[in-house]
Amino acid sequence: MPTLHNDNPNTREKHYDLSLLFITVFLCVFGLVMIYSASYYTAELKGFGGDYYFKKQLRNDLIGLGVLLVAAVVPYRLYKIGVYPLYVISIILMIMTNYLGFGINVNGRTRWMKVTRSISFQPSEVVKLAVILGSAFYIAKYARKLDKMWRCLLLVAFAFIPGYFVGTQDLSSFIIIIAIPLILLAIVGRNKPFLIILGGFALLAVVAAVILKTMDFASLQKLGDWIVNHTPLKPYQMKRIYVWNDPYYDAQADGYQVLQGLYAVGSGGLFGKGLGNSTQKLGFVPEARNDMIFSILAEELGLFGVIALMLLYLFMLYRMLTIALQSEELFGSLIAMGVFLQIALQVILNICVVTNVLPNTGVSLPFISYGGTSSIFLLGEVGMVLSVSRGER
Amino acid sequence: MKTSQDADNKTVKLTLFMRRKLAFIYILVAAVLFALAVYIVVMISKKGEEYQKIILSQQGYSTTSVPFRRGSIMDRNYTTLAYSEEVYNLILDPSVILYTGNKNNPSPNRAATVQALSECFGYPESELQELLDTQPDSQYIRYARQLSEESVNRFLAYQNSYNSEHNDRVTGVWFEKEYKRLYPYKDLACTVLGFSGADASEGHWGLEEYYNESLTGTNGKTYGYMNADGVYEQVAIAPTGGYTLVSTVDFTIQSIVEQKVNEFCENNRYTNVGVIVMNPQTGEILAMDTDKRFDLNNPMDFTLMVPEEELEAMTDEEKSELQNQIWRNYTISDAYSPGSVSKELTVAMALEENAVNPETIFYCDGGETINGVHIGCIAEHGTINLEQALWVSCNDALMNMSTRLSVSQFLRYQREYGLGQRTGLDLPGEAAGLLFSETNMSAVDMATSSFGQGYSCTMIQMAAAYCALINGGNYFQPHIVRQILDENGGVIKTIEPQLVRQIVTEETSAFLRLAAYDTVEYGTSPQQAKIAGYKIGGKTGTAQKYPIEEHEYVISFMGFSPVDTPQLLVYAVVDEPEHEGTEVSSFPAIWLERDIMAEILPYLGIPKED
Repeated sequence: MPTLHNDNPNTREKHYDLSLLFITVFLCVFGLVMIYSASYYTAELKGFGGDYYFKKQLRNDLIGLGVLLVAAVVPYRLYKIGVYPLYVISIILMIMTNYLGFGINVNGRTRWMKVTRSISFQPSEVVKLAVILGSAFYIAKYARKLDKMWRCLLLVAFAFIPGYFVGTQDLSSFIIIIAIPLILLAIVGRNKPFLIILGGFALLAVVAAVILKTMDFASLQKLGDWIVNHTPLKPYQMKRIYVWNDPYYDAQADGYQVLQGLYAVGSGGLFGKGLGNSTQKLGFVPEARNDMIFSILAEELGLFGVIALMLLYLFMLYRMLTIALQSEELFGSLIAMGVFLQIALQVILNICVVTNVLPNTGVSLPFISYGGTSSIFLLGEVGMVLSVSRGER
Repeated sequence: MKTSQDADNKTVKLTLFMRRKLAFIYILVAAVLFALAVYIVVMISKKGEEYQKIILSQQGYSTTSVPFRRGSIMDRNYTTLAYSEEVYNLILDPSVILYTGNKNNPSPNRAATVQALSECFGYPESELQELLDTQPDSQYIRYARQLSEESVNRFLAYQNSYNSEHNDRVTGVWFEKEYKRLYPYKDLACTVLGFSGADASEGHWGLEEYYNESLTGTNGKTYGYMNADGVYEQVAIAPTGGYTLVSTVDFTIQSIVEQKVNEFCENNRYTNVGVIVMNPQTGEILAMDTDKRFDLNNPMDFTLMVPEEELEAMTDEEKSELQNQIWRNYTISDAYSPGSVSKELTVAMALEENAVNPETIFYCDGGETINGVHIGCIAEHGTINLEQALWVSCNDALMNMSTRLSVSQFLRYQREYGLGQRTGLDLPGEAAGLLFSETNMSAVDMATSSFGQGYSCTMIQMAAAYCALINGGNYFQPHIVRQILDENGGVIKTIEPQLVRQIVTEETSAFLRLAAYDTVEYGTSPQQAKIAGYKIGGKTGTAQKYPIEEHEYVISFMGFSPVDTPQLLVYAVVDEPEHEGTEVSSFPAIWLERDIMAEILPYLGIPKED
């Protein structure tokens, strides 16, 4: 079997990929600085004290770092044991959240699950982890049999079951949950019709997006009327498309968040207004510490900061790619690649949403956005990749 | 090692093709991020300045004004007579309502917005449509004013539910906070209170005008600026509410007076009626009323005074004349000859100058001829003493008295009594009246002035002078506001009774009190003012209006009680009462005064003396 590296694994020392650990911590610290800046005004306004969100996120990151270390110490081969239980747990959590009243309804959507009075978390993050591990396990196990169409479809169905529960509440997480196994299949799979259909769908989605984004507004509304009347899509979902096409369509309500984000990014200039000097965070950009934190970053640090952030992510992804390539076992490669895909997809989706390249869906910026569940799970996933990096030697 | 070799054989590894695909994915991600970076560069270079301007404008560099709340007006027992309530203006923004994204297409939100406005507020759709057609580019049309909070909330709820359920939107409708002036008792004390309209910093007539500066607060504002570091900062200055006035007017007494005046007006013909109720010990106005009525909430509506058909037939000039008549306060703005009520003043000055004493005897032969002019008395009273001259209101005796005083003495006392000059009452539009001067006062003028003819004064001047006359001689400046409170009810200023001067001695005052009591007891007309169980002092007045040939009169009655230490003074004046031939009866004015006093005495808890 041809490989890029011919070193005998048994003769080399085992060690972690410290570059990945370093870049992860670096991004978290960068995120803390941005959260402090973006949330100070809001926190002060709510009477929590300006550093309220900063402190909470610091706690989240420290917990996440602990999880990362534990995940890194556990040999990644042992993760196979957890695949089925995790998958079942993720489905149970989703059902509890969606149907059994454990969910917390925010703006008509149930993305949070209540644990105790003060603790709640996002079960969709569990689903993402379950799908990454499950896909890696399934593909590694049946790698030689993936030339059969049904084998591929079975994996898609496997991801779709919890994905459906997530999708009813959160479209962007659904996209990530479905895209990860599909792309992994595209990398490993050998069933040509499946790959062609997949490529066809991807192309179709891009073309449809370009058409919807560029078509004139009145025609889009006519199309929207038809869609609302003949499909299960709801008017509020259609409005996202309208706003995407023309954010000025309703600048004060639906288009508000998108426009305020654009004003922030656009006004940042080459070097930004300086750290801490955003004016848009003063109550204008909703979710400034959260899904929209990229807009504040762009406003304060400018194009320079945006490119620096992109390079940090590219470096992190490069480390994960290297670990995937160097792993001795396909299972390890696929874990690294799955985490790689989740981070890459979230970064791209988030920036696309803030710049209105894609319609507004709630997706956070990995390691930078405020949020307990997503930070802890992402750091845990990095820990898994670190375990893979050690396991290769 | 066999086992490990087996394991190695089973281990699936990445093929070269897979590795290439992995590398391709990485390059794809990098390319997408690069494309996004380019997209952002383009956005910054194309729209950067425009967005920065939008940011600055929405941060509110342009100062926005936050309206203040005008202070309230309360009666002496803190019953609110005027206050300001939050209301909302409806602002239409046609540029938002009509926004299409593409100018050639019809606006998607127009129909829904017009329908919502028409459904929630009942505005005619055709009018809204026309407005949108005629001013499509406008961004600010104040379409409706003074909507209640409730109706605004109803609209917002409608808008919210409509927008979440439908594909199109209700949009481009804003609400602006404002205050509306409300007078809960409508026409009660209308001439005293005055009114304030849409502009909360303006008061018209009455307390609203006189105390406008106190009632007016300062608008708050929000504005932004760049600080020295080039960082935007926003400043909000909260509005300061105006001060609240606590009047000396008593709501109950004012109501009693108005009810009695209304009853009088229904049964009599007249041109003006005025009533002043005061506390003689302090100069405080307890009630002040005229026959003029208008709803302070709608001061341009004169239907309370004039039937609608007549109003419609009026020219603009007639209407503005009518408006002036209705809004003015007769009790302070109109000067007239007070008539016999002033006889007590003349007696007082004669006593003070020792020109007469209580034992002085006068002989009335039905009149006096001075410089060839015969001035008649109402009867031939014969031999009478000083007090009896007041009982029968003898002109001859008074003329005789005045001849014992010099012109300069007479005028000095008139001025000390506050006649012919503004009293300084805290209401706008006070008239001065007109006295003779030392150079133009003839002996005839002197004679007629002695019984209240020839010169002119206002009701408030006469009432204030009378208060002093009967309270021991202390002239207090009449006043109608006793406290000014800040927004939170803290006292900014307490207005104490202000003693201006001593106008007569206690001795003179005591004599006059008793004389006035005896006048009501034994006088012919004044007996009508008696109230069972109370000791009342008083004096009638009947003055001829000029020109004499028209035979128009001003009748009045000045009454007070208790006689020893007067707590209440009521002065009622009827201008041009209905009468037959050349004679007039002063009874209507006396009855009006009596009816008012009869209800106020028990309300004030003044004990019966018999």
